Amino acid sequence: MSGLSVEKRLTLLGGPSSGKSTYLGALIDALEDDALSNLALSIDVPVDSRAWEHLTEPILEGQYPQRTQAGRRLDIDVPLQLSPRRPVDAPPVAFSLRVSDYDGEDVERLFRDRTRGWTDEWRARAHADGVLLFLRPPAIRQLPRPLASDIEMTEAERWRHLAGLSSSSSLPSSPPSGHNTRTGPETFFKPGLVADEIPAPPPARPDDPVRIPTVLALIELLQFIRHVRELAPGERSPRGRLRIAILLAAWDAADAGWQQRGAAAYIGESLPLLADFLWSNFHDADVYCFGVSATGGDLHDEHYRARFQERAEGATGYVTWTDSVGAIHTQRDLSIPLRWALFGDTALAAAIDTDE
Amino acid sequence: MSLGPVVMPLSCTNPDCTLPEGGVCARVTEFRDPMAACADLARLDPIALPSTEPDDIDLLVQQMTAGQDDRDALGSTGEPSGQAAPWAGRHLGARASDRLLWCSPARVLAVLGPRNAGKTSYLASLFLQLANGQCQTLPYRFAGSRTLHGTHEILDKIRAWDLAGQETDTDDDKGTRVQEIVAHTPKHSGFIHFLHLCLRPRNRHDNRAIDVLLSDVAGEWFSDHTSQRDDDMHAFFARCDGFLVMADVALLQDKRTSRRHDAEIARMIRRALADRERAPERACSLALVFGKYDLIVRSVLPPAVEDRHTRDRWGVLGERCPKIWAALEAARQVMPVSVCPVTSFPQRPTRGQPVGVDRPLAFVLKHADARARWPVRVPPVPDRASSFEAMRRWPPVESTASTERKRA
Repeated sequence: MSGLSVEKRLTLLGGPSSGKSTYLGALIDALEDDALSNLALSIDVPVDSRAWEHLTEPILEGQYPQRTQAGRRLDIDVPLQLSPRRPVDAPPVAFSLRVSDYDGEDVERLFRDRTRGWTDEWRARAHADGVLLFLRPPAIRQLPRPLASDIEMTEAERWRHLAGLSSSSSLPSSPPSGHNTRTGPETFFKPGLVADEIPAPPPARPDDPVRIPTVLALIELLQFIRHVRELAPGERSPRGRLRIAILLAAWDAADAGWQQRGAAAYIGESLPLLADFLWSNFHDADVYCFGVSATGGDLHDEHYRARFQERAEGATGYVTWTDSVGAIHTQRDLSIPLRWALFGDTALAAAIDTDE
Repeated sequence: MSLGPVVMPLSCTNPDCTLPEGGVCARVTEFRDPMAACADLARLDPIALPSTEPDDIDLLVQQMTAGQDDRDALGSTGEPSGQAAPWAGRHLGARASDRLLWCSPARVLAVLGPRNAGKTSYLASLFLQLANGQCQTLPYRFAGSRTLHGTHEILDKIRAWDLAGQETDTDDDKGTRVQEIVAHTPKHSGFIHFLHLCLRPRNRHDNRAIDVLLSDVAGEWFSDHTSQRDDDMHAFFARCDGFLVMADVALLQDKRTSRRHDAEIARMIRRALADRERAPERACSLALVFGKYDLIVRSVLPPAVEDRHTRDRWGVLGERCPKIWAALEAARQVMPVSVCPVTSFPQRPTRGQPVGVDRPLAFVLKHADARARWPVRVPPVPDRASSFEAMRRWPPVESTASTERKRA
C-alpha cells in the first residue's frame, strides 16, 4: 500500500469526568477490532502498547476507566490509514494521530492558578489540527427545572409580574425538557432547514432560574489556545484550519427529548455562552456537535454490562449528529467525530453513505 | 528572594482582603506580619522581565511573588519560569487596557455610582443574562473576555449565596442581600480596573469584534473625585464612550437619605458632563439606572419606555430627585440620555430572573457603536410621472417642479 504519510494532531479538551478516557479507550478497542469503516490501524507501524492497554483494559473488563490521575499525562500515537470512498481506487491516506489524555482537573487548575500550569505541552496542544471538546450533559445540567416555553414577555409584563400584578398561573406551563414548542420553518417543512448553526435558547419566564455557567474554564482555555495561534478575540481562523468537534458524552443517559432534538439543540439551550463564543470565534463549518456514547449504555447496569462484554447486538458505542437538513443520524462508528475534526464535512458525507 | 516594600497606598490583588481599607489581611492566619510577608500586596522594585511580560498587573504581581518552588526555578537571574498563563484574568489594568485601546476601537463604558449602589451586582447580573442567552435587546453575542477569572469569582459568590438560600428556603431581607451577593469592590490606587467583554454583532454581514471595557471602580473613588481634582479621572471621563450611572432607589425612596443620594448622583452626572465637554468629538451617551427597583416596583410601576424621560411618570422618584432630573436635563442638551429601571437580583437566582438588565447597556452601546451610513439620494419624481414611476421612487419625494419652486 502506498499513500501520503502525515502527522495529524488532535487535542482533547474537557473537564473532570467529561468522558475523554472512556472515549479513547473505546475508540482504540474498536480500532484493534477493525470495526471502524474506512479507518484502520497501519500494520507496518509499531504502537505503544502500554499506553493503549492502560486505556482499553477497563473497557475490556466492562468497566469505565478510572479518572486520570492528577498530573498524569498520557500521550498516545496512533498510526492510522484512512481509505477514501471516492474514487474507489484511491490509495489510503496514512497518518499518525497524536492525542494526549490528561486529568480533567488540569483545566480547572489552569483556570485558577495563572502563574504556572501553562506548560509547553499545553502550548503544543494549541497547535493541533482539530479539537475534541468533551462535555457531559448529566454533569452540566445543575438545575432540575426545565427552560421555559417560547412565549416572549415584554419588559413591562415582567415588571408587572414582579410587582405581583400578574400571577405565575397566568403564564403558560413549561414543556418537558428538550421539547421546544417554538414554531419555525421546520414545523411546516422538514425538521430543520439548516442545521449548521446552533439554535438560540428561548426567552426565559420570570420564574425560571438563572443558571450560572460552568464552562468558563473551558472557554478560557479555548481563548488561551487561540492566543497561542495569534487569533484576536472575535477573529475567525481560516476555514478548516482549526475545527472544534463538541462531543456530548454519555449521550445515552441524556433526556429522551434532547436525544430527539440533537446535540446542537442541547448546546444552544443549555450552554448558550459556549454556543455564542463558538459562533463568534469560529466559522459555522468549523464547529460541529455530536452526541457520543462510548459504550452504548450504562456499564454500571449489570444487565447491560453483560451484553456489552458479550458484544451483543446493539451493545456498542455510537455517535449521533444532525445533518444539514436536520435529520439525525446514528452510527456505531466512534471515529466519526475524529474524522470530521481532521477532514471536515467530507467525513460526514462518507459516513452517511454507509448509513443503513 | 525577599519581597520588596509595599506600594503605598496599599493595594491587594486578593478580593477578600480589606487591609488596604484598614481592615484585615485575607491571609492573616498564614503570616504574622502581612505587610512583610503577604505576596498578594503590590510591592515596589519589580523584577526585570523578559519580552514575554504578562498583560496585566495581576500576573506581574503573581510572578514577582511566586512561591518557593517557582523561586528556585527562576534561578539567580530572577526570570519567571515561563509557565504563566497569557493573562491573569481578574481585571484589565492600566497596561493591558492601554494596549487594547491602542490596537482595537474599544468602547470604554464608565459604571458610576456611590458605594453599595449595586454596580458590581449589575455587572454580574448582566454577565449572567449574556451567558444564558437572555439579552434580547442587545444586538451582540458573546465573543470572549479577558477577565473571566474575575467574573468567575463573583459568580462563585452568587452560587454560594444561592445554595445557602436553598438550604434555608427563605428570602432574606433586601437590606442585607446586596452585601451577601458580592464582595465590596476594593479601592485600587493609581488606576482604574476594567472588566472586559468582546462582543460580535448578531448581523452576519457585520464581521466586527467589539471590545467593551466596563469600569469596575470602588464607590469611594467617585465620592472622593467629586470633592477633589483628579487628572486621571478627568482623562478617564473624557475618554469614555458611555456612562451608566447607578442610583439606589431604596435610598431615594427613604426621606432620610433621598436628599443626599439625589445630590450625590446629580454631582456625578454633572462631573461626567463637564469632562465630556473637553472631548466633544467623541459620541457619548448616558443611562441613568434606577437599581434595586424591585424594592419599590409595587408602589411605582416603571413607565413605558417612551415615557421614561418624563419626570412626572416616575411617581416618588420624580418628586424626590429634583437635582438628578435637572442634571439629566442638562445632559440631554449634549448627549442622548435614557432612564432605565433595573433589578439585578430581585431574588435568588434559582427563584427568578432579573428585569431590565440589558437595556442600559444596549442603549449606551447603540450610541457608542453608531456608524454613519452613506446618505442615500433618492432621485426626484419628474412632472407628469406615471403612478408606476412614482411608486418606483418610494419613499415619496417631491416632484422636480415643486423642488425648483422651493429653491426659487
